[in-house]
Amino acid sequence: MKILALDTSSSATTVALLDNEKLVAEYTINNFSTHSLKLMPMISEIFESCGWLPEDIDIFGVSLGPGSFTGLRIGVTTIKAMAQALNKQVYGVSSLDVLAYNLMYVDGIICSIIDAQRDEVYVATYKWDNNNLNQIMNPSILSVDKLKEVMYKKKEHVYFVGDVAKKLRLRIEEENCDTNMVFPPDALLLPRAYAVGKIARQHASEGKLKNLEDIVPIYMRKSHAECQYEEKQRSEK
Amino acid sequence: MKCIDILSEKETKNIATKLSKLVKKGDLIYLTGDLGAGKTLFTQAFARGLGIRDQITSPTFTIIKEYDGIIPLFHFDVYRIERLEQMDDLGYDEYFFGDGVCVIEWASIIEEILPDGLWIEINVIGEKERKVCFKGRNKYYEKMVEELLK
Amino acid sequence: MNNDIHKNIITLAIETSCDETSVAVMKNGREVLSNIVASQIEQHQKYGGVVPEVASRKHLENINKVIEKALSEANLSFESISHVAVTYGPGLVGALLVGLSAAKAISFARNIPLTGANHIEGHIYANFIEHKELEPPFICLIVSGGHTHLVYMKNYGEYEVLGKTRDDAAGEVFDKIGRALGLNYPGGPEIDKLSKEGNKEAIRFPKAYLERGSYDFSFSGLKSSVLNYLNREKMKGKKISIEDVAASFQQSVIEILVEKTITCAIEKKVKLIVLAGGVAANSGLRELMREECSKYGLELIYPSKKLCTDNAAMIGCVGYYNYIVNKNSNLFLNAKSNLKFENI
Repeated sequence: MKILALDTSSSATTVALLDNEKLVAEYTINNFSTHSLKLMPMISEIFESCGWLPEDIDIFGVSLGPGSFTGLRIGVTTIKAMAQALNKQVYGVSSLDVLAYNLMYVDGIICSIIDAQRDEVYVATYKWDNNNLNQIMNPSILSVDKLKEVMYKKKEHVYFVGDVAKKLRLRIEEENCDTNMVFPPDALLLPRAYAVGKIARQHASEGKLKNLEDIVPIYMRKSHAECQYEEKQRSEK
Repeated sequence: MKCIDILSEKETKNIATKLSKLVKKGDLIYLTGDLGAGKTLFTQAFARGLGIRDQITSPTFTIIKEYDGIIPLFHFDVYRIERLEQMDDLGYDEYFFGDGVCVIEWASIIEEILPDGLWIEINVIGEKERKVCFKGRNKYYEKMVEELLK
Repeated sequence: MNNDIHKNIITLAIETSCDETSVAVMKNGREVLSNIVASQIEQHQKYGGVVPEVASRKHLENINKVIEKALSEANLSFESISHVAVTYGPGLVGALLVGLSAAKAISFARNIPLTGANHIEGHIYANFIEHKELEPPFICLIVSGGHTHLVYMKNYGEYEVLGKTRDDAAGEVFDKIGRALGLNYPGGPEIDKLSKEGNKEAIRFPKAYLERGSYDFSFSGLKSSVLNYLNREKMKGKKISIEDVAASFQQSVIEILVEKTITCAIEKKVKLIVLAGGVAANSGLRELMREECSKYGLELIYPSKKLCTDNAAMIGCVGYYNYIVNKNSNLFLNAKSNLKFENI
């Protein structure tokens, strides 16, 4: 089964080609270039480098978020249009799950975090059980302070993954906390399209089919906007 | 809140130009005032001050227009926004916490979701006369108002 | 496979520059095989379709469905598409990126050429679709909610921009005055309707000619004076005839649009005037322009209402004319919210 997978939920753009279990090629760029400029040329390059054609692909995998709105919009639309043009299936995966795959076989709590601006993060926590990823805390939006508070209380080590982990580490170091929180090196912080492909393949084998129109980005509403929205709804009734 | 009386369009342009020299990347300028008060006029002069040579036209229809200046300018007009979650769909935080300065016309429509910024209210007193009031929502913007009105 | 299809250029065109999601299939640039506009798919109002939604995530949600409908209505599949055209500006970046991403993906997946199109240029080309014999040169007045331009089209892809708005677009002023008068959105068609019942000479609102010899427009002064008038009358406690205000306001706008366009045509010695954009659907504008054209021996052309507003067919037409002269784009094509329509 040949797979094209990508993730544009963070500042990085990552694209991969998989052939069943095998990672055939992976291309990640994390500099100032924008997704809108880079994504399609990267896809074209990766196919050319591997001597593959778009019609060779059996399934498409894409990260649905949460994350950067613009990035997600570009990635999700690109994959859906390609799949539609080739009449193939798309599998959408959570960006928070994708991040957790960077730390397979780690003993302890994996905490995936994605920047939600305003000192908030999108977060979910996991534990690995052999090859299975189990989600412990559902995806939510927390302030950085609240996140620290919650994780500090954990009895095990908490491993942070996601590019905003760097910011969090600086905050912790500032406060000179001797904690249970672990910050892996930079290279392990970014999402990898390989993980998107792996999860997509899993969904495919489990028959988790979805209609193209039901595959949409995960837009977790920010707490303040949600509160204001609900306030307004109530006052308008 | 500090207010000044403006007697002509030229005075509006002067104050806008002065402001353009004080702003930095990440600053947020909120313009309020009725139709015809001069919000777009203010923004045009502000943009000139940022070295933007393009004609600044009203972004009512597209909601956001982007310009390259000394600092990038993100010119919003939220007149057509009816529900706050429409702002979410625009990915507004990525502009607000991005690499440029945001000027938002009709900002009071979306006040609940706006971070601290510089509020500028343009009140129509006569055909050409305006009363322009400035309010900085935190120390940083309060200082900006002081500098502006020196 | 039908051999006939191979000799023709079948363009899949995508337009997502602002509120509307639209996809069209065009044959050789001017023949519409399908032209689907998302807000018209679900018929919610008796006027036909819903008003397209502002700043919504609907572009992403709509795009695949609209592509599918465009193909099925044209009775074609992706195999028959030889070329993709897409609006890359001007407009709202987030919206443009949806159409662009889809277009680039399809171009790559099917290995077919991609052409980027300027939305403003698209409005001009809407006329080529309905008027098969139309050829440049002509003077084109492009008036919509987001744009107001006066352009001399010398040849396909060759333009001289003679004038544009320095502040508000004409369509936008219609909408804002409409709002001030308490009318439904969009204000343009409402004011057009109401004007028929009012006296266009009732109030003389000022028209901004700007400096001598300028073909630029400025509507913010007119907007202010209508608003000032409404405020003054309200303060005096006078009853306002919204029909008269609508008619007088519309008259001021269309008079200046028509006058500058006609003057321009005479100066450039061009015998043909073409209208484009949403405001080209305004009956007052069409009527006055027709009268003046007839007076000066000029011909007038404009598109039907559906092609005046944003749609992908017009983009497909631009795309086709770019394609046949090899003005193609590559996969680095990016959205430009401020894409200018300039002298080429």
